[in-house]
Amino acid sequence: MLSIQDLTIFYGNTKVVKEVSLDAAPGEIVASIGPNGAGKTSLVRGVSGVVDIFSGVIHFDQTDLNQLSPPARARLMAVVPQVSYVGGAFTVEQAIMMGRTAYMSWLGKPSEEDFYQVEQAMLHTKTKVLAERRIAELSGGEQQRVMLARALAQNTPLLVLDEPTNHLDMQHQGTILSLVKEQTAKRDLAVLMVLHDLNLVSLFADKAALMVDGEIMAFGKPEEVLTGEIVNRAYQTEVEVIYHPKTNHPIILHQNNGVMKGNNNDAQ
Amino acid sequence: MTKNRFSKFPPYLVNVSLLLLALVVNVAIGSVFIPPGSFIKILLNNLFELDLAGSWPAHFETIIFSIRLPHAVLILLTGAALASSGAAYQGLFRNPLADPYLIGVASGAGLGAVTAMALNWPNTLLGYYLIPISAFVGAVLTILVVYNLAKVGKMVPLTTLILSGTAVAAFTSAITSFLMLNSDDQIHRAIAFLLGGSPMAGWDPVLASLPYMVVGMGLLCFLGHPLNLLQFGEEQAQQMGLDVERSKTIVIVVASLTTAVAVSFSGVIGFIGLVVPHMLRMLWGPDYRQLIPLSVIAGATTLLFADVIARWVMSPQVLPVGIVTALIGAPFFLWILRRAKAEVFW
Repeated sequence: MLSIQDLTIFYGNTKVVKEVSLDAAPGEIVASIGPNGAGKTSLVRGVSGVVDIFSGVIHFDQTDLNQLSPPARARLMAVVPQVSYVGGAFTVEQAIMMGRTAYMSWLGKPSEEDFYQVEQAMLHTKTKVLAERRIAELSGGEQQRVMLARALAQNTPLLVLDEPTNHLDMQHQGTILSLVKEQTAKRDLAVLMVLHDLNLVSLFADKAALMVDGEIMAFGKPEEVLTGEIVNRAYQTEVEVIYHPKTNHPIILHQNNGVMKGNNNDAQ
Repeated sequence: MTKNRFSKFPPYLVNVSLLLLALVVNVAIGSVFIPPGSFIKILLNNLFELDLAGSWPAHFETIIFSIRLPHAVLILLTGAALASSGAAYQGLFRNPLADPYLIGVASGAGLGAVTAMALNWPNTLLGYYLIPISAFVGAVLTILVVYNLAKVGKMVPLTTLILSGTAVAAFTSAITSFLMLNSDDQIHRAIAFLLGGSPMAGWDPVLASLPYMVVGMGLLCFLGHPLNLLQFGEEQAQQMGLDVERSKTIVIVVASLTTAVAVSFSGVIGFIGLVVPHMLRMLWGPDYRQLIPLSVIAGATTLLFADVIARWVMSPQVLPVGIVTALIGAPFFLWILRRAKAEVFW
């Protein structure tokens, strides 16, 4: 169980995450949602240990993640970054193998186990056919599957994803989130994921943590958080929420006047 | 994968063969031509106490063992050190233009050396050995200043590191120029040093630099995996389990010391650290576990050939080898850039 208690993060003098508490159980996908600048990405950066946290604790079961060395932390938590073109000259297989760093010596020589885990990760993300290709040659959707494979190769009980659907078309958004959901169940992962698209949250997340101005405004099942009243208050819009006729998932409908209102607020 | 007809050949075999060729050519060329066959036989006879027959003048052995070979070995070590530390800096900064000059190490070493010359230390009791020592101190002080200027809190962001490196390099170069203008009798030697043309003669500098070189380059060869991870950015590297701050510190210290030793004993030689790793990356890919050892070998080869040109083109006059590397290296690098535009090597 991932458990975050009273997490506070500063960037310079600005408090970007304010006493945030939430948890994610094994097999559960928790989506961090909220308007731009709400502190979602700061939250996952704090959880993944790349920014200093000011106060609060992050536990996995009994382990305080902040007390761990980078390799020890990387054996508990893997991170899927936003689509990026860095490291593009490496082949897919080389990149996924780097996910095994925390289990390797300083020299980075892979063991039998490392090859096995990389093989599994490639099978589970359908990236095996790409193994010899360079990352820079791949499409955005393929790259994101490679990043997911690299995180799965880390073989951790915790998975953190920072906007994995960014810049992807509808089909690839569905593909990547389906893979995440499948592996969450299969590997019993506790997942924390930043997502922008509320309709995807409704479909793929088990819980939603709505952040506004660095604070949690609502935390619960998607159907509890994604009500018209809460969403409109958080995003300062006028959306309408209807329910899927077959599955009863909430569906967020944008309205033109809602978008205009948001823009006017920005201009002032 | 890399699409190039050279990349099919086994990289170590190709590079070691070229290095041996470069060594033989380097020893052969000079005021007295030494046929490669004679050199190889003389070398084998002496190394393994063989008795290979051949007819060569007696003074060949003297020329080889007291002049040509120590010079070639020093050049070899210098090229290896500059190319491997250049590769490490490029990996660390994720910037194909990074080299020992970018973070000011080479300028710092140059200032140290010229200071020693300006104060006329070479004529004191300790003699010429004060120049390398002084260059070494200059390099290390520069790293410390640059590193501390670049520090923001506990972190050393690479952008501030490059900015402070450039600023400190400009500052040390200014002091160097000032010292040179005020020391007329030593100025010729100081200019030669800054142009990369004062490898010291005999086995003493080779023996003096060898331990640092072996340790420095040996450590660089072990840093391939951390450098690979850093190609994905510092955040991702840490999330994959790398202790990023410690790795960066180790790379900077080891690469800078390796550079300082090279500059101390051979002068300021540019472009080897830039061009050699770049070529290797184009041919055999970005994996630093292979790229750094290959840079050691190919850097040695390249500087040995450059040195042949430096000693041959205006013989009997000897050009500073730094002029040759810059004259060939700079246009060559521009050619690589133009050619490589469409492809991704990073």
